[in-house]
Amino acid sequence: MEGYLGIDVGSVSTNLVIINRENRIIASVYTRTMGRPIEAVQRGMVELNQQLDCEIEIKGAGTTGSARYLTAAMVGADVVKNEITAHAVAAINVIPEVKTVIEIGGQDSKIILLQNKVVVDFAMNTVCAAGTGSFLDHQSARLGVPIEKFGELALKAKNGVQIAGRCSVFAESDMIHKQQMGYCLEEIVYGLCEALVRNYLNNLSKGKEILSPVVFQGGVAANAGMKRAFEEALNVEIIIPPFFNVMGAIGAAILAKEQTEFQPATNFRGFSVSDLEYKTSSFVCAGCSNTCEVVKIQVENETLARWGGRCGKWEVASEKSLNVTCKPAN
Amino acid sequence: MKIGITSTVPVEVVYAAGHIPVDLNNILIQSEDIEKKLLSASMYGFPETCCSWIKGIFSVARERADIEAIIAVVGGDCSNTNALMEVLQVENKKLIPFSYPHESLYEDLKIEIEKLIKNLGTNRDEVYRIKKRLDKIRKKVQQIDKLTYEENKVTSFENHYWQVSCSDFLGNPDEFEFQVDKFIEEVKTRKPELNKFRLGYLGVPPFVQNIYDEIERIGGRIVFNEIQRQFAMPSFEEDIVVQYQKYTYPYSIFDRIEDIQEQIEVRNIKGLIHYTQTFCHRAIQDIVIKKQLNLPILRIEGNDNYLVDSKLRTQLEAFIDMLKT
Repeated sequence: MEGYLGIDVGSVSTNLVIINRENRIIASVYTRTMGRPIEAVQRGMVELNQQLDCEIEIKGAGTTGSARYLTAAMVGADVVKNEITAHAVAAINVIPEVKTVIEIGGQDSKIILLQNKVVVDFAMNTVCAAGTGSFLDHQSARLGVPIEKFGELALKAKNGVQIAGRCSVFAESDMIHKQQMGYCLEEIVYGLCEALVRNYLNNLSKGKEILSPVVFQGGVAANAGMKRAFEEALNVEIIIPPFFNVMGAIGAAILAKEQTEFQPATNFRGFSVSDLEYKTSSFVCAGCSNTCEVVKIQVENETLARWGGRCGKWEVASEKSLNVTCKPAN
Repeated sequence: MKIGITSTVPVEVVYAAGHIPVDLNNILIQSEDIEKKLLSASMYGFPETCCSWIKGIFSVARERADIEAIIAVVGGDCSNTNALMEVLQVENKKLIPFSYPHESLYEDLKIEIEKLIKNLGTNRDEVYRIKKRLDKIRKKVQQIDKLTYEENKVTSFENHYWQVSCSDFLGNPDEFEFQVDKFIEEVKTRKPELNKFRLGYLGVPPFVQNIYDEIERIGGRIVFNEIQRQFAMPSFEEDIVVQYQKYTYPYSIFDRIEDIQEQIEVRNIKGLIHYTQTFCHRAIQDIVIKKQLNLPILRIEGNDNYLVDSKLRTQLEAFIDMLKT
């Protein structure tokens, strides 16, 4: 059976999916990056392989997320794509007429506006990471509420209490203060959801018209309280797609599948990448006054790729061919 | 005497008075210790929410004993400069305020320029003699600009660098002209690069030093650097007052938009990147820019990050992807 692999390696989570020719999910993994992207990908590949109940031939591989270049060099990707495009592609696959994508991940949030399946505008959060998944994780730990139960608890509140949304430090102080004043936990948790939605809209929707259908994806979409808070703030239905937490990886897999029309064979090294020992290092090039910091990834003393230099002289052939085959299929 | 400038000023007056202008912004951005300079300003007392350009040029001015006086642009650039000027006075620098009038009225601007001439101890004839000299160099820099958008032979960074350097001509117009001539000769031997996405860059020059390299890496090319081109005084007016009246940066956003619109058509630009500093009032102008210009515009913010980070990289890549569809 043919499959297409998508990997999204972010600062908080690493997600992997395999899709078939019809873009249906055959296997998916959501795991924590924990500061070690290479290990997270290797771990994810093992888990993914374990889910397969038949032999799969990976015909194309795509990577996205903040560690997309590192991952691409590791696994041999055919497509390397930024998260905005990947998320948009995945959303269109589920809801072809989607006009707005709200994505809140571990440390980033994005808004993507589409018309007729084409991205026409987008924005990412600026200044700080207040209102993203990491903050919710931290609060759920502090309150002793499992993150999976957070949304359920928020839905029980009639109203939310006012919580500062501008900064996660102030939001936490506010929550503590409200607890000390005796407000019930459900209202505090829902108040936090409302604050995060306000933060998101203040930061990202500047001058943008949010039109339906609105799709909410990313790990934070698991939180039913956030869905409710968005619906109340925007007065529109919020759609949460199946596999909402691995949409970036799905997008990367779809793009890899599209790339195969332009490329005779995949660069994918196989599932055995889980067993290899990768080594990354960096050095400063003294070739000119730019003093670029160049990152190198090696396996068994073979350099897979280097990047970071301005002039490109440190790029190895494998990375150069990676760049050529990774041009978007347009 | 070396005289620091906080933004583009009638530099003809500085050279006419026999002084050497030093654009403090350009010194800052080329420093090897930018982080240290910003930290130093913060520890001195500059607030967290203060623009990094202001903090940085404070440190540059303070550290450079050879810069004895500073022309501070207190109108038409940044209102923080007013307070910056006062702090530098405490640091025993001689401060010379210069203000572009709010509505670019001829008489008001003429008064400001004449005040500057008197302050620096020169005269109108000498100023015009220098203007003639500098205009000759500006015409050559304009050629570099044309080689960018007409012949596709100049990179985004090079287009930025030669134009932004016209604020002070690197302190030595003769040497600057020599370098410009050498550069143009070399560019003429290059093959054109026709496969890059034609983009415009709007707003103040970037704090993010390698943003131009990143744009080139992902297949874009800035064929129009809006404000840097204005620093190079593209209007070539005989009257110096009219020249600085037509310099769009200090005045209304609508003057800038008129200029941008014209250049979009001349240069066949497909998308615009609008850069602002975090906490800057110019971010508000993005609202008007987006309403008035009918082209995809990516707004990006810089703060104290002098290198492209992963978030900025993602946004630039996504913007190019968006333009490709």
